[in-house]
Amino acid sequence: MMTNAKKFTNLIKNVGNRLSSKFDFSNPLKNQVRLSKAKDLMMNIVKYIVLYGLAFIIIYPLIQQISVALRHTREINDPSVVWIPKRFSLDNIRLAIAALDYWNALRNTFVISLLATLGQLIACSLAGYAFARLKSRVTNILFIFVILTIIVPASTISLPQFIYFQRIGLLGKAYSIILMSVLGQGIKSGIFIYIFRQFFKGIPLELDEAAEVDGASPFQIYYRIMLPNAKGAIVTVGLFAFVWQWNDGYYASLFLRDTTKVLTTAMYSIQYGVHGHLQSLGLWELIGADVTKNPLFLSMILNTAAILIMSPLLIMYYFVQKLFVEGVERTGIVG
Amino acid sequence: MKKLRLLNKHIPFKTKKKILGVVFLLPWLIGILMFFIYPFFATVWYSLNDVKPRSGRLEIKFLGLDNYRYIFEELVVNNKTFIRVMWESLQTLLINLPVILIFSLLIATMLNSKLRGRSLIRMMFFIPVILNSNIIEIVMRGSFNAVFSSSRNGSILDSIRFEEYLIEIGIGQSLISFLLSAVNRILQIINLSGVQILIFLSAIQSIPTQLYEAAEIEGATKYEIFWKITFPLVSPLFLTVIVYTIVDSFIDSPVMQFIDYTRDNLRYYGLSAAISILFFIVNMLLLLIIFLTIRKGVFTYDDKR
Repeated sequence: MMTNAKKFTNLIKNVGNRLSSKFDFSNPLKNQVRLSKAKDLMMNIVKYIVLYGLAFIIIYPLIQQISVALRHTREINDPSVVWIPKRFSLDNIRLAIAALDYWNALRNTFVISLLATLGQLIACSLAGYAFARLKSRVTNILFIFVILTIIVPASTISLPQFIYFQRIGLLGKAYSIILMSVLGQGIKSGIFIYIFRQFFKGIPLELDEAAEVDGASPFQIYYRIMLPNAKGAIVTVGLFAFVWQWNDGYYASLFLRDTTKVLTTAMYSIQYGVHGHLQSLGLWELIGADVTKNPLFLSMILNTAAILIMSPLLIMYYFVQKLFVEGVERTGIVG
Repeated sequence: MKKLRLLNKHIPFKTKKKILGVVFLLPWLIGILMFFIYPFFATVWYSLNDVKPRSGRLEIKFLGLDNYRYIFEELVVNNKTFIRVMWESLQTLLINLPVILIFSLLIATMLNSKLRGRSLIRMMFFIPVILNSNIIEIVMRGSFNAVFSSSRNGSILDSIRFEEYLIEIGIGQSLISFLLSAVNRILQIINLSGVQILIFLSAIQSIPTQLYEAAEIEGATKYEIFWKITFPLVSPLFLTVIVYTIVDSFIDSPVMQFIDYTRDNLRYYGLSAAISILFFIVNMLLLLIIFLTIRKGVFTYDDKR
């Protein structure tokens, strides 16, 4: 009995000691450790709230748009429908596809973006290599022009470009945009050259020297050593070039006009004329007057069209995002 | 052929390399002559002329500096449109620039740290880069809001309430308008800072990990590590990011729309060219001022290679 009671008191004492050592604020070193731990914990909480909150802000309109696109045309201003439509329908999507001439525009956009991306990759990597490794006074001066192409806005020089294309008969043809990309003057080419230059600079010079000793020409060095080591830059530039070309409405509306329809120009043209478009397609009568009279009907179709333009990019992004994120991290866009 | 080879042998390797540098640049060089230098000087020439489209051809009449005089008299002295539009876009830039800079650096630091669901979050943060499109933005802002403002209170109402609350607390009016313009732009800021986040992220990841390990052994907090290691080592990139942000803002600027409007709708090609040249000069000066002020205050490596 006695021993048990003693054990019990000892136990209490032990626990008490442990607790008091845990809440002992007299030791300044331990206090510091506690303080820094508390700070880190606070930082963590803030971090999670901020990141997940912002991710929500980014994702929210996207989900909302998809929800609108799947809604039945009669449910536009039904306040009881918030996220999940009561009646799913693909009517909106069908109408938007018809109005955009979607499949044709999608094919054009895809081909132009792909060829322009290839052109940009070749021209910009060649230029980047020259600026990084084949330096001379001439290339140093020429690099100022790369910076200038980044700074001068497209609108400043687009009219003479337009007239130039008109003169050589490329206006309205996809070749106009592809030619510009192949010659390193596509969308944001200056930035791509800059990225390639920074990346090539980061590859050890010893590799070049070893190849030179073995008798490799600069072109062989570029092809056999630089490019295989610059996969990150190729992925980054390729993706940016593709995405920016896909989303470009400015050059497309200027140079391609109405003859070669791409997704962005199709979007511009239906923005003010959904009624006319659907009427000329003979779809207007099928929808029903109570729906078409609704002013929100128009914006619903536009919204669905926007989703149709974005979705191929989103799907592609899902498949390449791992490559993309890793590629970017190793690119060394860093100065 | 043989002679050529012989000639080749006499040239020292270094000069050969220099010549090859220009050869490598050839596609780009042709491109910049055709699509940049020629159009640029053509624009300068148009700005000195009265240019009108007539039956598929341009009618050009030399005016001298009349276009610039017109801009100065009509749009600067009388109407003040040009000054107002310029000032407004400068104001937006001056509010957005520090916000984008701090925001993207913070987000990049956070995205780099250990995090549950990091790959998912990262993927989401790069979606604005993917979807950074003018046309989608127009649709999202305009029609898309119309769909929802009818069935629900928009975010505009929330920010009005927020404003009342701030006034009750007793914060000054100017500070409130600054805060509100920042808050209302949060989605816009996210959309604008996608590339900047990428640049900072890759910069942070190029910092040697030994520095962090040493700091952790010394018992530095994450807060201290950020200010003593990450911040100074990333600071050379501020310049890149600032320049990128400013250039990016020019593209969306109302001045740009004004230039397009005078060209495409009013068909005053000469006038539009003159405005765009003026805009370009203002931009260059702005970039130059910022470049010179920042270059001194930033920690830089010596780039010897």
